[in-house]
Amino acid sequence: MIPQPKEVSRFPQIAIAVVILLGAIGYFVMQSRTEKLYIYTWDTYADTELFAKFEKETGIRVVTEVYSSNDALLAKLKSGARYDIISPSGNYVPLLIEENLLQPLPDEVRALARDFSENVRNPAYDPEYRYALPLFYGTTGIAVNTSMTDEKITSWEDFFNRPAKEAPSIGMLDDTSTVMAIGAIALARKNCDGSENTLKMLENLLQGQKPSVKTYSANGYFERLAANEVALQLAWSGDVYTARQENPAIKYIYPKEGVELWMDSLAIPSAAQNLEAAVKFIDFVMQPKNAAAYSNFSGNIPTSRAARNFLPGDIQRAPEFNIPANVATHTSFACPPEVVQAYGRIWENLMR
Amino acid sequence: MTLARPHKLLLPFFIIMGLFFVLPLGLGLIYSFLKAAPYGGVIWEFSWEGYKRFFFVPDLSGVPVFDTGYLEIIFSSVKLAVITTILCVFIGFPTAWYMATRPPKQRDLWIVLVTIPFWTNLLIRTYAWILILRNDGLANTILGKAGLIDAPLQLLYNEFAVTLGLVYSYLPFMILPIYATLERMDWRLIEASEDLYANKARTLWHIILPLCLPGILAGSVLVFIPAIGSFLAADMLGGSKQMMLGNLIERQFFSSRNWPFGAAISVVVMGTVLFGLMLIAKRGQGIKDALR
Amino acid sequence: MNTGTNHHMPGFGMAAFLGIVFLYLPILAVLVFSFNTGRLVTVWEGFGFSAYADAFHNADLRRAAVNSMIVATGATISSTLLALMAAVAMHRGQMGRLQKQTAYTLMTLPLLVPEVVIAVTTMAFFGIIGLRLGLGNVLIAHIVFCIPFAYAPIRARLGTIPRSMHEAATDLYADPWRAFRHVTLPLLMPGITSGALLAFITSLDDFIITQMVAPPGAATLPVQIYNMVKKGIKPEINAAASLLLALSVAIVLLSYYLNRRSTR
Repeated sequence: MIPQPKEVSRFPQIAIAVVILLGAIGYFVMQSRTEKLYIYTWDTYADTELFAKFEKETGIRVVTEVYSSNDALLAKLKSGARYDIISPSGNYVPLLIEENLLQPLPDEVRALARDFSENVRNPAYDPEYRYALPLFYGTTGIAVNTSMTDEKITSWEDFFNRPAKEAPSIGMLDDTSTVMAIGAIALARKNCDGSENTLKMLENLLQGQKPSVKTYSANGYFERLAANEVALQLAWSGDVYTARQENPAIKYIYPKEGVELWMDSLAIPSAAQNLEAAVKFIDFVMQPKNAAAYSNFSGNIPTSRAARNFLPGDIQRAPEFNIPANVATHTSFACPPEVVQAYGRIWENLMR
Repeated sequence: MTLARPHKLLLPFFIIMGLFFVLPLGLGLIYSFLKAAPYGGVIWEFSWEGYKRFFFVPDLSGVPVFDTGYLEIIFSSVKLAVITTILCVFIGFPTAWYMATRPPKQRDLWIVLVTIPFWTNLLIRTYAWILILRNDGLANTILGKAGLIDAPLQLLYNEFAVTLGLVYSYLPFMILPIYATLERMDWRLIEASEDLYANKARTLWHIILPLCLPGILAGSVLVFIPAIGSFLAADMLGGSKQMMLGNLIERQFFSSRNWPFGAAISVVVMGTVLFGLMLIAKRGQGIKDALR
Repeated sequence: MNTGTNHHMPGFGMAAFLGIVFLYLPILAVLVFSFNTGRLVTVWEGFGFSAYADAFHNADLRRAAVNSMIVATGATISSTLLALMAAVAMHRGQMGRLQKQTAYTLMTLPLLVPEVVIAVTTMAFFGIIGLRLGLGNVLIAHIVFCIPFAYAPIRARLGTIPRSMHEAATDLYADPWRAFRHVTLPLLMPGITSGALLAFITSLDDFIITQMVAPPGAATLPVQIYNMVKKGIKPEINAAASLLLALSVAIVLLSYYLNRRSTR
């Protein structure tokens, strides 16, 4: 049974060639046609509607990828990924600058800071806005799911010192600097205190809480909160606001020892591929109406004063938005490298 | 008579594999002997710290102290992989037996049935268990509606879920080699055993299992090795409290920012796997048949 | 009669049945719940296609799906080609033992090395040589691990072609290339198709290697689904997952069907 040469179907070969050709053409056409802006931001800042508006106005296609902790941002940038816009928290900015991961902001961008509210002007980590333009600020407190627990939580003490044999039902974040800053507040120590005694106390505090902790992850944490997976959660204010829209049983608590005050900025990585588009984006987001929409989406307080006028009433009145006067706010700032390393080791031990 | 110049045909293959497979692995080996840069990456200085970290971890002030932490992780990882393998044998052997004792026409159907899940996306199959195990997932909903429980059971983010996920992922790898061995088995031996008044249990223990040993061993190898290096099951179902070696390695390249240590773990895992396989290659023709 | 048919072991039938149920439960769960119109995926509200509509409207998922297709197609074509050449060479070529051993080792090593290790080392390697081909980075990584999957069926099929065929071919055609093209290749087709399908599925399903190697905007469907799952289970994720599942199952069944046809 020798196959006749003519019957050897050429079809498969032609089909394959056509497929390759079509695929290649399609791919390259798609790639080269649209100008792109690569945004790497907090998962809770991925406002697709706002970005779509930007796409419409400028014709620049937005490609968004998200992270849920500053540590993830740092690791991704270090591994060479090239994004055009990132949203680092203030206390990580000095680190990013030192590692040459940020590029200086153009003056037109820095000028946008003129409109900022008093309490966010000239942040300690970058007073002249040379590398980072503040976007939102907020606090770190405790979120309580009142449908899952009747416990009256009023302090960090309550949050960290749990009864023995309790079933794991606490959610913690895996953003090291946040956790350590809160630990310091809970222990009434100064933030970034690298003394051996304080480090030991921090470690004991966290290890002591561990049996009651269900997850150490900021990834999707407020969805878990809204889905009744955790009873207590270390949380960032804006996320609690958003979670509360889905699940009214969630309450935000300002513990009596005080809260961490943080600031998130917009910055342009040194490896950015499209500086022009990045600048356009920052301009766009900082326009009062857009800033207000963005703020409403993320639940965080906008730095732009003009934006506050465009915010809907209920968010203006929300507890997450209004820090009670009698609660101490500890602004988080960057710790010196040895302390960061020590924190890293505490975290490593905790995760093992 | 034969095709000329096989070297020419093999050349593209060698080039691609050499460049994009061998070189990266080599780089990994090199990285395991370098120093870790503070925020990720490496410093090009020779150091044993990657390997030392298995036993010595810097304490809070930076001084390396003997610490069994990582050894414990390795141990529990191996333990979990062993449990997974054993469970796979318990579920896989009866299934393979059942398949092999069907009429020949049906057997093809069974093979297809067992193989399909194997080829579908592991990520999705692992994700599916979240749907089943979480607080308002399928299992809890059914149990709750049946009135068997008052509050949702914690089925997810613990060792139970990870074990379940691992067994699930690698079960077909156990079933198929055992089936292959059973297919080739000389069934007259079974009949002889039964004729000689042995009951089913004795036949099973003294005749069947020893005959199937190559298949069981092959399946165990095929389950144990991927289980040790697995990533998805512990990551999606373990809630960052369970870790297999795969997770430990991944963590070093991201949140822990210790690339040399991650590379060192990889070298050790690979070395162990290759060493084990070499042992099997020397000893087990039967196993190789089962793997075919 | 030396066959296992009708040998019974008490309880094994039940165990087998449970085993199969166990294997298919998650797959069915995903598929069934993809038709749930409720927001919380596992709380059944009604039958509908809203989840699929959400998935199609999600730009990230669409882009990821396109990326997956491009990479899978490209990787399949390249890896099948390379595997074909390697299979022919290994099967009939004259070469030293060392070369044969090396080729055999290189062909099996990707299956033995834990995927995580391949993922992190490839990521580090691409970083250090500064490879910046966007989706091309993913494509290259996929070609590497798809070759062994394409190779196995081709090699197996090659082994079933009797020697007499080769001799007849060379009798008919003076040029070895034409002998190959007109005799061997058509006979090899089922193996090649099988190999190509396997390579396609393997590329489509890959997660950890793509996750580490993909530059911004180059996420494939599994990577995109994973990133979305981490944030919370939503209907569109489930729909996308079902589609991916259905595609894999369809391809496997196609592969079986083609196999059976060719062995008739």
